[in-house]
Amino acid sequence: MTNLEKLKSLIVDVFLIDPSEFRLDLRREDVDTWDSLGVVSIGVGIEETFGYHPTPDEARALRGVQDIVTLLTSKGIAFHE
Amino acid sequence: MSRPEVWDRERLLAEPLGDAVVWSTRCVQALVEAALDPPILSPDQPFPPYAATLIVFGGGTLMDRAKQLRRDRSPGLRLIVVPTLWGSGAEGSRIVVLSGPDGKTISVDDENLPDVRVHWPELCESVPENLARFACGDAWAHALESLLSPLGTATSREEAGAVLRRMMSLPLAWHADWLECSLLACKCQAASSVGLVHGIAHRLETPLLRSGKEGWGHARLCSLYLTPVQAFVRQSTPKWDERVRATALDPETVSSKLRPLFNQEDYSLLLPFLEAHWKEILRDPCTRTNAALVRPSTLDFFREFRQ
Repeated sequence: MTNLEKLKSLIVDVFLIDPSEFRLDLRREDVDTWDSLGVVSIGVGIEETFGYHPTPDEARALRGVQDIVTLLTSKGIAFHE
Repeated sequence: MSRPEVWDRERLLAEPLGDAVVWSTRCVQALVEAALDPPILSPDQPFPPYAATLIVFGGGTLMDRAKQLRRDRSPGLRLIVVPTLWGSGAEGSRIVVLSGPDGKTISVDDENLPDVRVHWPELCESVPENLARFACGDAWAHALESLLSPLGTATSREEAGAVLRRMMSLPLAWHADWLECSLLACKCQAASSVGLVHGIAHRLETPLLRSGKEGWGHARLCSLYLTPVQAFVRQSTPKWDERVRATALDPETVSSKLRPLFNQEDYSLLLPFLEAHWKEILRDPCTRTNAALVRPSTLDFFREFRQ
């Protein structure tokens, strides 16, 4: 599974959306379950899936899928496969 | 003065209680009737408008109902609680779990704190053996899920660790230290959060009651699901073991301690309810602060779980 596929699976599972709704420009305001608890869950999920534990500030600053990609890329996790 | 004020039995019996009424769980009702003057009313009866004080003898469910009554209909009512069962920590908690038509909701507010908590441990001595075990499981669930919570801090984990070490030395049965330990465990979870054990308990209690399955209260559900949830978290993340070890406890010893709370027959009986309500469990706020990510596919783990 590529990192992008892993990310898609994570987003779908954490925010309980349909896989067809996933896109790289998906924003927090587009997803009603991306609330403060969603911020906690995505932090836990990123750590389990990619082995990087976002700080609380980093998790709160994630405003969309692209921000997650940018954060993980900055930690050496590649998405251009 | 910090709330709740703590009284002992003698102070309660000596204090002028004014226009008070009592709610009491059935098992201590005769004792309460003999000891106190105010009338004992059923919580299902209309609450008398003259009452300025409500004294509650019971466990978490009855105390939460009293907190809800004060919040919604009788602000200013003095609330005195006398725990007759340990586990919930409701006697010292600003959390109220409210039952509504759509299941459980949680209110967290300093206004939920009782005014007085009465320490009368003898009332707990007559608790039946199975209820006592479930009460211990409830306290264990609070302390462990608090220790593991992603919202926990170094301080909250240190406090949870301290209470877990004390609980390790207690039996899964009545012991005078349980009242204090369960209160401390409840404070730990209020400072961080709880996890999937509570998410399951909150979402299954009402459907089980509606389906006519008696006796499946919060504490029993927490007790039953502690072991399977622990197994799920341990296979998903090393955090369970790391954090338990950081409290100077051995993860395997803790697991063994909790094992008597699990019952395979009960687990199999409730599996169809877990499956039917899994979507609601996934959306429960407690589930969403679990130490390991709970996914739709996690249900397969619970379908296959055997001790």
